[in-house]
Amino acid sequence: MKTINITVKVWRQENAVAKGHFEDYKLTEIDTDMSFLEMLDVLNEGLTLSGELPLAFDSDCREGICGMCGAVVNGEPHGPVKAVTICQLHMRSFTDGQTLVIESWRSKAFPVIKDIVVDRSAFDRIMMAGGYISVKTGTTTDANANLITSDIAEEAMDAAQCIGCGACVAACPNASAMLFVGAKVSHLSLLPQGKIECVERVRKMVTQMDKEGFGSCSNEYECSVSCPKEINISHIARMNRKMIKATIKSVVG
Amino acid sequence: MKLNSNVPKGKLKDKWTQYKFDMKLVNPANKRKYNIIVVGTGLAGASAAASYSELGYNVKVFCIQDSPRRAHSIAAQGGINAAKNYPNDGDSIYRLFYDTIKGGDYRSREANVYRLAEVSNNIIDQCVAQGVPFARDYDGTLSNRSFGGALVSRTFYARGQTGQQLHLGACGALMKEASKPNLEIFPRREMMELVIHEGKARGIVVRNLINGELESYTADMVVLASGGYGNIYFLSTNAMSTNSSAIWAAHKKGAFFANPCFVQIHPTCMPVHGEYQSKLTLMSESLRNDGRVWVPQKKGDKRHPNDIPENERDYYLENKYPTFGNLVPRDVASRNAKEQCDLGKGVGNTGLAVYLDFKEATKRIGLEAIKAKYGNLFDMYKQITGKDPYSEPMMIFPAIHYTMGGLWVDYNLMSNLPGLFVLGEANFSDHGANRLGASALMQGLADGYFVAPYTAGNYLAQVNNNELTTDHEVFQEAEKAAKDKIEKLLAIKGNRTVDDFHKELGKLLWDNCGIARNETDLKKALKEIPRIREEFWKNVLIPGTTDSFNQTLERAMRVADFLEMAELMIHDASDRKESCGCHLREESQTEEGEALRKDNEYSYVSAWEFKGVGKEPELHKEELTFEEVELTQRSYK
Amino acid sequence: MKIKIPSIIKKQIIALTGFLLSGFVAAHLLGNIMIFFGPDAYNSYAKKLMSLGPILYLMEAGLIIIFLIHMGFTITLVIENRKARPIAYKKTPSTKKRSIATRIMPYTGTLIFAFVVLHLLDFKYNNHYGMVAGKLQEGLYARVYESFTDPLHSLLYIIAICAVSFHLTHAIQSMFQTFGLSSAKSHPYLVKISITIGVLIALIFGSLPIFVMVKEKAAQKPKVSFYDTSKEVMHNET
Repeated sequence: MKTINITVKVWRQENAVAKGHFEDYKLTEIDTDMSFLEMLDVLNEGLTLSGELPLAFDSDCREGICGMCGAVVNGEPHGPVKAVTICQLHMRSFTDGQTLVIESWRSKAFPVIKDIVVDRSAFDRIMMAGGYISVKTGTTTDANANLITSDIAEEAMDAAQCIGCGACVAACPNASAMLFVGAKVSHLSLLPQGKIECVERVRKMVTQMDKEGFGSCSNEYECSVSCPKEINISHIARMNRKMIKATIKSVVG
Repeated sequence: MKLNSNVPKGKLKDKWTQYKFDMKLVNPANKRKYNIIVVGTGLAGASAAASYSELGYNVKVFCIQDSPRRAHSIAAQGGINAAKNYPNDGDSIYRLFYDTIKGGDYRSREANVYRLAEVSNNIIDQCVAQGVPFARDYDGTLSNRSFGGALVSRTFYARGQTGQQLHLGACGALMKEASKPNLEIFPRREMMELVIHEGKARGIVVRNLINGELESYTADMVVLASGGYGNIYFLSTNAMSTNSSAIWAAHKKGAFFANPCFVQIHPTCMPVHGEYQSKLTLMSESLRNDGRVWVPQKKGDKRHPNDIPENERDYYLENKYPTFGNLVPRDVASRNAKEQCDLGKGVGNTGLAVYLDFKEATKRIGLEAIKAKYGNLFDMYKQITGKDPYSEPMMIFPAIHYTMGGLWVDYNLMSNLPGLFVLGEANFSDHGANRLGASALMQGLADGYFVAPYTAGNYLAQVNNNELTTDHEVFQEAEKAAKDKIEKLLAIKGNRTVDDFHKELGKLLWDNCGIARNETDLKKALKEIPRIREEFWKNVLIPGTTDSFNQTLERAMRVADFLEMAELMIHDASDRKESCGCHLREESQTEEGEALRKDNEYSYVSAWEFKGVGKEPELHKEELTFEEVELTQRSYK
Repeated sequence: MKIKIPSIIKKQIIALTGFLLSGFVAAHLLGNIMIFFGPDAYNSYAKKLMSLGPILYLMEAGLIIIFLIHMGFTITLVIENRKARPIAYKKTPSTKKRSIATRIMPYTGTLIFAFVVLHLLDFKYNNHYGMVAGKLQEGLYARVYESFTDPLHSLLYIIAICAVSFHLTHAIQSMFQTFGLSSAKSHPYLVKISITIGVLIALIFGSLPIFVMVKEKAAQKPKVSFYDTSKEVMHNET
């Protein structure tokens, strides 16, 4: 068992309206097999016992699929390891004596609730605007009635993998949500059953995205690199293409 | 009290059809006058809420997470079963039904399971229409694989993320309805109390997790789809927030809890590294197809596995079960792994792991074949443990994975409390004493899309509810109870943390009410639990206030409920003096030391009635009768 | 009624106007290559352009409008983007993907704007006379020639050209992405093509002042016309 000593510099903010600041904590003998969130658990046990308020942070499945956790660690959303969320990041990725700056996702559309917990309901509102196929329960045909080639299904799956964690927004210099929305639009518009509503869906989702206060895409591609599911920027391109169609349709009719 | 399962009369295969014909219907114009509360947004909750809303009811949906899409259904990997018989390999509704009943070791209700198999095909149609990108064959048709020892290929899958995709489909339906006025989603809310008025479930009290406010909501019926209680063991494959508080609150208000001791243990999980471990990660069981399980023959052998020569290794599964070897069922593999560790032969830092060795398989089929088959699992293992399974054996250990027990429900999926419906993992209904792989997703969606929408209508059409507002004293009382509980917890200001208590409870249950149980251990646990609970209520330390975002308080309330529920589990385990499904009762073994089920004595569902904290609950038995299937005993020698 | 233009459409307008402006850059490049073929070729090209008369004015007006739209939308987006992250990171996200060209887009853009203004004042709205190899000559060629003989002027020109080059390096592939014309497969190639075009633009435009300076040096050194009385020449003789 290998252990390291580290300093964490964490963003503390009491609530949505309070002013936040950074606080330093020293952690000794951290087992390198620990996950990053388990390290925060250890920090919290210590804080609790010493009469301080523990750090609020979101996490749920702790296996990289629910998308609940997320923090910017030393300037990198979900930390230094590619294609993982912070719950899958392990302390062996850090060195003895290192200082870890831990910050929340920073975006106007993701206001802080407490410490590094942010409100990502903006994503849900975008989804409510049109991120679905309008099929009612029980009104469907046989599952094999629509044939879909394997590569289309795979490409749709590539996009559908999005866990909605918000790392793309955190990574984007403009705090843009284009990779999230692009992935959703792309997933549904690739499949034949999703094509029917495609044009309307894009228009509605993009309108909602703009309303939420996300920045716009300037093709910096940071999102894709920080995405724990490595969603490709080609899905943004697909959305852009569909948006032209949607606009022409809404202008010309 | 005699439990009425309300199973319709008639032949097994006609029951559901007949039910649908006989049921009462709500006039379409009247549907908007009914309010339905749904707690939980996993597969069952999300699909039910969306379907209710489509029908025209007013629906309020509550979830703990910041978004419905985060519920733990999202983490299911393997796939979803359906009796489509697309591969033309002889599958049928009847076969799926039969496999599920048999897999559950004959401790589930025939009629419910048959219905599950019957609607399974509709689920696949529904999900495909919603845009779930299931794996496809090159001809464009849906791809199937065989799963969990089934002899037919009936499992549909979307890479290793089937749960995620099905759940996103269901959440899509939920979002579609949420954009209309009759469905509203309340995220970051935790259910505290179930409100009963005139004997019927009429509302809930929730805590707003952001500002700590208690909020009351009324309805004509309440649907609980809040998942399982595996986290009672502290370490499990469940998500951190998975808890039993909602169903426990309902149980304390009179809903019967069925088969609480039926928990499923998965044999191939990442082992525990240390005290700080917060959860266990599952790896596909397919690993056992090629891996050989072993431990060192010598106790406490701390050598590197590669330095232990062949003749000093104990391939205990192969030795004990020459026919099935490493492919024995989940419960047998799990039980034997724990046994070896208890003998002191466990490996790794904590001594809580056994080796799973691919050296021979690599020699036999080649490194490339191993990579192709298990590459992603090996990568995941390496990423979590930092060890390379290509060059040294993997370490695995069993972990709590799923809870078959849950609130008792009848054929309508309604509990003994009128107006309280329970869906998905939160109910006990379909999996008996053990759940087959790829069946949890099927059950969640079957309940939500195709069963609950009908049975709810049948209930609402017959019930005559009075107007009830949240000013009513039943709500005031419930809110006060919730408030008192919170204040009491915060006032303790002791010196042990919530997790500390939770870990103590978890270890006690794992050791005494885990894979193998016996009278002595259970008695010991029954004594210990009240002691831990008392200490918890005297000595727990919860920082912060109630009127803020306070995650420690959230956890404390869940643990407080676990500490009460644990006792019920022990009572149930003590009562069931048979080995069945996932667990071995040490007093009930065959001469060869294998699990012995006792159908004559225990062919019933144990439905427990709450009688007060620390008081012995009352057992109600729902006898299980099997008209279609013949009961057989398993053998893996 | 206030019409809200979706962010993607704004971006596409920027891409479209940017495309048209690159068209202008390409045409301008073709014209400017005439410098290599001597004063006559270059001046006649300039004259031909001027002779277009009203059409030229129309084209110029169009260009200005396109330029303003390009800038206007970019400025609104930049402001909106800044607003989207009110609290900055303590540790700025490390640059994993963004190239220098991408990061400095707004700066290269501003630089190009400043350059265009100066460039117009310099060459378009200035008299077309200049010293060529010590001789005062008429025509745009002479004007350009004289300017480039000033090393400071040439340096500024080269810096501006580099800005254009960097701008295009990002812009060309970015345009394909914004119009949705790129795919996972084609994107890496588009990035390469973008960089190649950017570098080519820099090399060709950048070679103009260098060509002139080298030519001037060559013209001054060996032979000096005897009736030239400038001080410099005298100095050379001594």
